[in-house]
Amino acid sequence: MAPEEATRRLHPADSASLAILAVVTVTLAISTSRGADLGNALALHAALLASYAVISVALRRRPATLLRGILVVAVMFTLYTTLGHVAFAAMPWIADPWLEAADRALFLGPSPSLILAPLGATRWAEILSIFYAAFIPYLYLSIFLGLIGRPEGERSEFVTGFAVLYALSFLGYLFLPARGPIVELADQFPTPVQGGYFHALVLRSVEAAGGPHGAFPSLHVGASFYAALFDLRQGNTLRALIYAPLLVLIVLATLVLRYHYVVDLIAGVALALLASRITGRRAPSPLAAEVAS
Amino acid sequence: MIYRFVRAIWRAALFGFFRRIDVQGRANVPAVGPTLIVSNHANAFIDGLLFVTELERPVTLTAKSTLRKNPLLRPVMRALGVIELQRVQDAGVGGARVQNTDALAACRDVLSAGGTLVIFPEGVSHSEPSIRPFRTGAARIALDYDDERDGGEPLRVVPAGLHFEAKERFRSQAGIVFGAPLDLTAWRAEHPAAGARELTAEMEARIRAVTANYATDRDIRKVESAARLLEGANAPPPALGRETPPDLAAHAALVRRLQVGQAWLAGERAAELQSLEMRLEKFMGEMDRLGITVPELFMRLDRPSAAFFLFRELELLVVGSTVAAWGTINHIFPYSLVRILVRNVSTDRDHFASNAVFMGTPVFLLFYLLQTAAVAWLASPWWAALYAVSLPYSGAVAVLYQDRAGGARRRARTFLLFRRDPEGHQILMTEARSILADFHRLAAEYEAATR
Repeated sequence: MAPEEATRRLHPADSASLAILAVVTVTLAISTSRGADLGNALALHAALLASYAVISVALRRRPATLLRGILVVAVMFTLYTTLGHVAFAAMPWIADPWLEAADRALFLGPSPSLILAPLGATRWAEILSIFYAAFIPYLYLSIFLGLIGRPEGERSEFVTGFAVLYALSFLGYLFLPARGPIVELADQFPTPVQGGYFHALVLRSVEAAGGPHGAFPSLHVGASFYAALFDLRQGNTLRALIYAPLLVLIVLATLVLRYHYVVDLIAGVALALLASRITGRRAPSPLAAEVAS
Repeated sequence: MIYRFVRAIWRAALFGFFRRIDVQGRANVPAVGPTLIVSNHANAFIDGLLFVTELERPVTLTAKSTLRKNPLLRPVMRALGVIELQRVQDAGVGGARVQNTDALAACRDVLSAGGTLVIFPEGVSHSEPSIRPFRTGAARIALDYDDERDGGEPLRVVPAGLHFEAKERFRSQAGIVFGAPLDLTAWRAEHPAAGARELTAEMEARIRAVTANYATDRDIRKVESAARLLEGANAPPPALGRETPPDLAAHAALVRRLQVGQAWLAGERAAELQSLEMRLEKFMGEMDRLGITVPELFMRLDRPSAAFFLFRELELLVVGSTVAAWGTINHIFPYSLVRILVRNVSTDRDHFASNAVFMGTPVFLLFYLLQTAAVAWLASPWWAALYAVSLPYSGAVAVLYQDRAGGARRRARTFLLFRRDPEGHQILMTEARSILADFHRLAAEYEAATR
């Protein structure tokens, strides 16, 4: 972004964050006006929107500040914990049956969640729980390395992609509220998932966040893929390759542990690709810039 | 389909051999339409493969007809549809020279179909410090097409410069610079009397513009040292794994500027030139002895930067160690075998990489097959399938990991060296800045004298 342009325009990461905050606030306002008990949530999100609007205007002159990165991450993680719950109260529908139907259509009849159900009763449940949980350190590490010790352009690009990915994903959380197969198909699974220590850890973490919610799209998959795509685009092929098996195992874990439908994963990958593509276009690499010239 | 498959195999092979391949000016190669790429020839069959693997549009290579005698190259040449050219010096060795009539017709067919033809006008791969005198074959092919095209699309001639950091070294860098295309029809309209000789001279001038050429091998050391100092000084080294692509075209231009300055000084102030060259040689000799690159001289030595460096590198080296170890263990036998073979077979610098790639590819594929079969026999087909997938993946991680670990080790060693001996560090930095100041002063004086 040219300096004079930067003083006039909002940073794209701020635009994406403000847009999703505005959508959430307006949706909650409409739901509240129709009788939903969402007054507190509305006040919280309206306050977030107003605060962020003020901050983003103040940050217009600093397109690559580290502060923006921290704020965007904080806002998105806040929305992650709030949206999953308010969406169920704000929307008059639950999307689980549609997502399950989409999965069955993809697999020409049978439900992939039920096909994989037997794996949940084997030692794979425990092994995959480790990788499901490993998403958190991988994500935090990727965010840390995306924000710190980078040239300003790269940091700005990382933050923009992160904001776009989460903002688009939250549209799914809000308008297609779903709890995943673990709730929707609970009575159809032959046995519950039988893991050990790490599975119990995953269960406790999910419960601490208010139970399963925000199934569509899978941010476990979306955020992991985005981090890998960012590494690839920045030429850090080794990091992308090293974590590639983790990505595959996270995909498998979300299915075997019954937190996501296959369409959630497809949507997560598609959004990661979209976010990566958008930011790639905004900030071409030096070589790409040279080629374009 | 076959072309794409072969290209994918060679991409993997070149990924294994070279640490990085940078391409500059790719947009100068037209996406469609008849295109003739003319290039310098420094690394035998690798040169052609670089064009095959780095350009999205299919290319047709030309090669000397004697290459088909090589049993390893023959199937590759067939798969890639290489057009064989008979050279004057090969007449009587590989067949009658009249075969070039067919080759010329084949080239014309490729261009008439809107294809891309790659030709190396020097006629032979070599390790000389400068490009060799051009043969007129490329120009004759271009003019032949232009004469016969009969309303067909005009030909674009794209000059290309191939650059190799150290072509006889595994995991070195390579690069291609594509220069501005020449519209042959427009060029002939501007030069109505021009023939093959004039077009060849034009091609040579354009290839010289995208390559670095030197008078002697000794000149390479002198001028490259100066260029390295000018390009790398006063900026800290980029983070490992995030190096920006080198500007090869700018490097070639810098080399030419330095050579002009060197020639001017040699004529005007020979003693000063000699003194500067001696200082530069001594300085770069000391840097090489310590194993330090010029940007590393200006690396940040504060503790927070060092702590962050340690964190970032340890994350990769610790997390990646298992996969890298798996990759190393599973490739140790084919790698060792290829190394022995290549060392025994390679008699000159410009065939080392070709031998490594052409011997390595079948050897690695054979070992993959044998190892996977062994796993299928010992375990199950499912484990064998998983193992087969893990082989190229872990092999790629292993080479990248070793590059990265080497870079991290080198940076850490330099950091500790400078922390332990700040005075020595200061002396080196002062000398680097002093030599640079002399360069800039002399450049200004040259400008003033020749204005």
